[in-house]
Amino acid sequence: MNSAPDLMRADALSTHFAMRQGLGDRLRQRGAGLVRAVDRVDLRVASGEIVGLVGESGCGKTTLGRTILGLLPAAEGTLTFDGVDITRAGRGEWRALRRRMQMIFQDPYASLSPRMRVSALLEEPYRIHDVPPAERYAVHELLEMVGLSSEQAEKYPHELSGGQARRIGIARTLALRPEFIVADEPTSGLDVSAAAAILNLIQDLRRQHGLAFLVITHNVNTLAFLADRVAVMYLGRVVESGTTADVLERPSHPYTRSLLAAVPDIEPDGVDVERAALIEGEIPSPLDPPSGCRFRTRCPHARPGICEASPTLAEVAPGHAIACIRWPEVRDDEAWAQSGV
Amino acid sequence: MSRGLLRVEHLEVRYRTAGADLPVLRDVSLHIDAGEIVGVVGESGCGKSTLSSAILRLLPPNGAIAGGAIHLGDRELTSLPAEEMRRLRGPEIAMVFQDPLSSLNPVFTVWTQIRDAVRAHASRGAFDARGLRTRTAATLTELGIPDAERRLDDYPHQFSGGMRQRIVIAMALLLEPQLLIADEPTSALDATMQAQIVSILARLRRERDMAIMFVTHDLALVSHLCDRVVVMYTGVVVEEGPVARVFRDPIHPYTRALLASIPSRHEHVERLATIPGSVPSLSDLPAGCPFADRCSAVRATCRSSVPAVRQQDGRLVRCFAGDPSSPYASEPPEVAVGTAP
Repeated sequence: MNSAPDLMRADALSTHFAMRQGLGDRLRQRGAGLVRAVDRVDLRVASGEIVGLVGESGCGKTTLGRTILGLLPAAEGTLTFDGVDITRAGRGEWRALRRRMQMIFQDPYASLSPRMRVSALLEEPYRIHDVPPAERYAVHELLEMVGLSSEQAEKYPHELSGGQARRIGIARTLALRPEFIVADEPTSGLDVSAAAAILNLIQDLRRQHGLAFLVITHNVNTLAFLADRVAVMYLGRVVESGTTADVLERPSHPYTRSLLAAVPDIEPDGVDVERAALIEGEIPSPLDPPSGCRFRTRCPHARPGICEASPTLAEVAPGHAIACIRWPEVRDDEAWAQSGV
Repeated sequence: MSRGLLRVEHLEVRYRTAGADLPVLRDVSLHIDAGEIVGVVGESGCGKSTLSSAILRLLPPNGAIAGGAIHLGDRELTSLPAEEMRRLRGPEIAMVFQDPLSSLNPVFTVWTQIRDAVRAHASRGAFDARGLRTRTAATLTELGIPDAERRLDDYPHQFSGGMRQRIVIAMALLLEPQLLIADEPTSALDATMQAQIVSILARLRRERDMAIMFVTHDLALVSHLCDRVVVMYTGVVVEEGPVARVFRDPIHPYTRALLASIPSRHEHVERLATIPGSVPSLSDLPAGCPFADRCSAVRATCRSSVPAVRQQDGRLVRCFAGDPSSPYASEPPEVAVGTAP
């Protein structure tokens, strides 16, 4: 357990998207649908901590990251940053907050204007936030922080490799000296060695500058290297959270176990992929999620009449929590104990 | 000629581009036996997708096979007339690509497309649409598509990505090919869906003795599924051998560096290894070994001559290190260019 005070804290945070009211809805005299993309999520990140948020597409992990940064409005719950409730912060307050909370976007080329040189791209945050010169980093300092030479300053984005463009994106977030960064799939689309360099860079930034990160990813193995704590999301809810060692080495929620079994790690002896603990079917539509436990339609441990109730996160060990109503039975299930991950 | 359903020998492929003639594949040799799954791995630009296109003779108009041979059974594909090659695609070599949407026509139902594809390859008068529909529904059911008989009349957009990939695989299987070329077939899918598709491929190999060439950038996935692995770098094969040997004890410095840069759940490291520098451009390849500029074991010989493929420890390696007959053995190491893997 990390005893440092929380820098960012989400309590029962929800994000809803209203669907357009279609003709069918109108004929049946019913309102437009509501997607509960993030549904009462608790999450905290301490200063200098790296927390990983993992899940498959549609689980709400990116939506949660954007809500935490105020890019999407929170429907319910509270958001606290550095002890201050910012849930209902106005535009002006968010403007000030954004200097302290930044985001590394998934597609670096999409976030870099093709007509600006790297030097101008790195100074853009200063112009937007009207930062006095004394508080600015020089372009070469920013480039150095992300491991690039100052020759890169004169280049345009299309002249950069994927890994370099990603570094420029990171340098832009660092320009404002933030305390907290949300990194959404920071290595997507990169080759393995370029990805490794970005993961090393995130570790370095935490160690050298005490930055806190929320790293959003679908790759559990990345978090094994990077994260202090991990939260696993499924259909808008956190189903398991704990230290990285707890979640990855002693996964307890049936979904986490299935996910870990599905994400391959290097196994020189091979794996019986036909018999690997697979879950059937697909993630249900977030428009019409199952009632109660959202994983129950695919869970080998689900029992009718029991799992229709909503589980809440409860500790199975100190600091290690899962949301599963049948936990004691699941734990004692013999076949379960033997199905190694 | 019992060894090798597919035998690629000294294959050379060149792409003509404005002002340059790029050697995209150089001296590529590999073989795949019936019932064998061979992984072809490497980072972007290594030529792995060009290799699958060349085998299928589906290179883009500016690409051409400039040398070598491709044998499928007792036929040589590079000299086959285009019409014969067309008839061979499907019934003998089938293919599954990364994006199933681009392999399916959005304006026709799944059934129409499968029927037309199979009919195009059936001999005159031998086509039985009703029988095919029954077989198609059975195959789709086998691949985990619920309610397959009814869903045959749906359009591609009514299926999820994972379901579309199953449809493409089913379409390939109905022609009962001996060899399936799967180029990043699961890269667009979530982990649990990827695991389901991989399990299907493993079962097809076992039940139908089908050979599979599995092209991917995901080394972990290769270690789970494949029997042998071919590692490519800038258009050459640098190491080839059984998965267990290559992954446990990689010989080529590139394979070693690649494996060391992948974060793993089993092994906790402070820093991930990275490969210094970047992949050289095909229009400006080094005179000697293409990996020399980034290699931690580089010596003078590597700069001047291109290493030949040689046998070592039950596999094929293209590297001077470990070859006692090479001048490399008596040369002093160069000053390290980067972190040793």
